[in-house]
Amino acid sequence: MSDERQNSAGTDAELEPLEPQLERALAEALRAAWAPAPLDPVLNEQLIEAALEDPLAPPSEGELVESARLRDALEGKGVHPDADLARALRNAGAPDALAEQRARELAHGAVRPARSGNVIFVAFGAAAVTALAAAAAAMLFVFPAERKDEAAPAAAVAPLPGAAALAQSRSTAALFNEKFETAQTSDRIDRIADARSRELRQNRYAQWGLR
Amino acid sequence: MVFVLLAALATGCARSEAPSTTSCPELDAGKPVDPTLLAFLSRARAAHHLADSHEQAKDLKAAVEVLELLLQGPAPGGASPPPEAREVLADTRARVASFQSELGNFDAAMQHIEAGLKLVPDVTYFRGHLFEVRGLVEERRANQLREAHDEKAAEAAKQRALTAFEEAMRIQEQVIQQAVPGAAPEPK
Repeated sequence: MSDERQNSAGTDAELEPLEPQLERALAEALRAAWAPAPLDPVLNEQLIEAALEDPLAPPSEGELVESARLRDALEGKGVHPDADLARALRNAGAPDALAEQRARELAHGAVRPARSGNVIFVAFGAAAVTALAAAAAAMLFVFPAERKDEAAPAAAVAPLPGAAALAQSRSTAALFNEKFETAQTSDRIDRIADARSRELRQNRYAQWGLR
Repeated sequence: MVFVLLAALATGCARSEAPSTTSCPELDAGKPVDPTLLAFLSRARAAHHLADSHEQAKDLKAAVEVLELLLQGPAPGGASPPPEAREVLADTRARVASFQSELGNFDAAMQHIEAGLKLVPDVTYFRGHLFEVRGLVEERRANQLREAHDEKAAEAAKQRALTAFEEAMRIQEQVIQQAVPGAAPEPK
């Protein structure tokens, strides 16, 4: 017999039988959990009434004092244990402009993009002041892919001031340096899906301003 | 401005090391990688893994059926799919063609090859692979015809197979040379 089984047997031996009353209560609880019986409607109403407070009842004196303290704390006067929670909820739902700007600064500092190709930069702005540039609202600069960049997250981009950089849809040929075998079609599809999945994620980061 | 734009694009294509001589793949789609493309790729991935399972179970008919669902289903870009979708569809057609030829359905196999070649007109592995599979299809057809004692038709199929294999070799050689521009052919 293994040590584990010996320990198990020893533990069982130490267990004492339940009191009959306790055992009955446990059995009833288990039965009720497994197959609950219908509740008497009158009892149900009594339980609901006991559980609910009247939502239209006038506030008690204690509630008035607490609400005044919470209001003052939210206005910056004094403290209240619920004030921090209220602020956190408000910021989560509608962050103010300063907090958002700070978040962007932190995000830009945290994400350090590497230089790569495969990206079309669309720059808007200064050129638009000239009549020539006004005729064309955007300038496209294409930096073609280098094969070695394809295997890496290709959306690693070099952001330009005022430029939006997104990994573009393009041929997947650069992902493959070996002979194609029909038996390995699934492997090729896997590789394509994985590469573009990474790029979609990078595009999302860029669109969220994290680049 | 137009001149500047064209010059910038031309410079970009000229510098490209992508294995294409007839187009600038970076401009093929001109659209960022998006969830629709990923949904298609995910569908393709699932279909091929299902086909793997059927192939392992020696049920090539079921494998063809699941891949046909992918080919007949929606693709991003509608009539003008992005390069990734075109290449995945072409590769899928190559696989279906191979299965169909193993099942003895040589005409169906060749239809998939032709449809696949239209999807990938540029010099890529994908196009070369389609020619390679075309060679395999014709080779299998030749073998079947020979077993049926139709020597003349078998010889014709064998010749078509050789032509297809030669074309596959030519394309893949170009692909390799484009990938490694300085690579010179082995001395003969």
